[in-house]
Amino acid sequence: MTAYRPASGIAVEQREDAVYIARLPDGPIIALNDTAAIIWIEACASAAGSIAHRVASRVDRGVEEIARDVDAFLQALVGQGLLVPAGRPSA
Amino acid sequence: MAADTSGGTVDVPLSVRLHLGRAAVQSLADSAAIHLLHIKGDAVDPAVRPAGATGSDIDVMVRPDQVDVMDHVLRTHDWELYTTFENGSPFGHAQTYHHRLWGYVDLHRRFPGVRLDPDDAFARLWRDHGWIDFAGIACPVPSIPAQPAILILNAARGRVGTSLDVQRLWTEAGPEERGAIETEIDALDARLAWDAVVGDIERHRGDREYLLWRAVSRGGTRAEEWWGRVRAQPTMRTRAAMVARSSLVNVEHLSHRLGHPASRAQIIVEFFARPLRGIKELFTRPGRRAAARR
Repeated sequence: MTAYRPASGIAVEQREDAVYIARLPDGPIIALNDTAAIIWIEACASAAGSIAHRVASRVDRGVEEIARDVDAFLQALVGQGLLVPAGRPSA
Repeated sequence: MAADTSGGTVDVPLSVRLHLGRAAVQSLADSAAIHLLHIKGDAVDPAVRPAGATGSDIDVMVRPDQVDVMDHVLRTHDWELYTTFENGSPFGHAQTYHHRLWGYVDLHRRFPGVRLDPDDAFARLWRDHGWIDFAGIACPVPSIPAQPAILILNAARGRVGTSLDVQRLWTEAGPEERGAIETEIDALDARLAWDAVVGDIERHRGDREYLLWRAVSRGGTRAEEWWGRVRAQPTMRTRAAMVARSSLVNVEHLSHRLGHPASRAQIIVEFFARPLRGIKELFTRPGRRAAARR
């Protein structure tokens, strides 16, 4: 089970190292690149280990170094209505 | 991190924008309980057409009695009307809208070449429809047997790049595949358009749509196309109306060509320029006209 999933009314397209997010039906389109895209991808992935650990592994940084920033970014995405914790009903 | 939430310009690849656009259109259809099928381009099942042919815009077919509602819904959500049913194509089959984010969508109320009643034709296509996921949104598409028929009928209008569809879906197809496609063609009453591309259109010489399909499939002149449109009309009244329209400037097309709303003076210039272009076409007739947007 994933930790997060796209919120209702959010469309997502992934292309290699970029994630494009759109609020439906009127936009806007938000582009996540590099580390931001990796955080989104790992947040919505069904995989072992914490999100911060998986991100750290992909960006070759220490978990302690990035964990706070990863969590802050995820909370920002939730706060903007783009992500919701999996298992919780969307707004 | 490069999260772009600043409201600035985002460079979005065409394939991404098309998928997001289809998701946006579908979300509007779902909100109004509209039956809508995504067709052509990236809505073609990979089993029918291998990945790579995404097209440049979004094509959808709407249940005919819901076209007005869909039109209202689109316009309410900042889709601007670009071309109308009357002026968009010789078949009057689709309207085009443009959205600053999602690009163009062609809203079909019927499909050129399909002569089955539009309501019945849509019902048939809807009955066995499948699904394709665009950007996480489930979008209805015609069944796999129906999709090759639609693509080949599309090729009958001589559009650039569609000859490959004919090659792969018909010329190289086996007897069973051909039989399934012809079953769909007959069910949709689309033999004339079908013969314009893979058969013998001359079998339909007495048909009122023969001249129109001969013109569009073989790259006829504007005058041939217009005469075909006149002859294709089902009644004398509609033929007379079409003749009357033939003398008018297509202001929509002119404005698009100019890149701005055409002025009265520009419309007048175009009114007199058209006959000269028609004469020029008679003497410089290409084997196949380059396809316009539609």
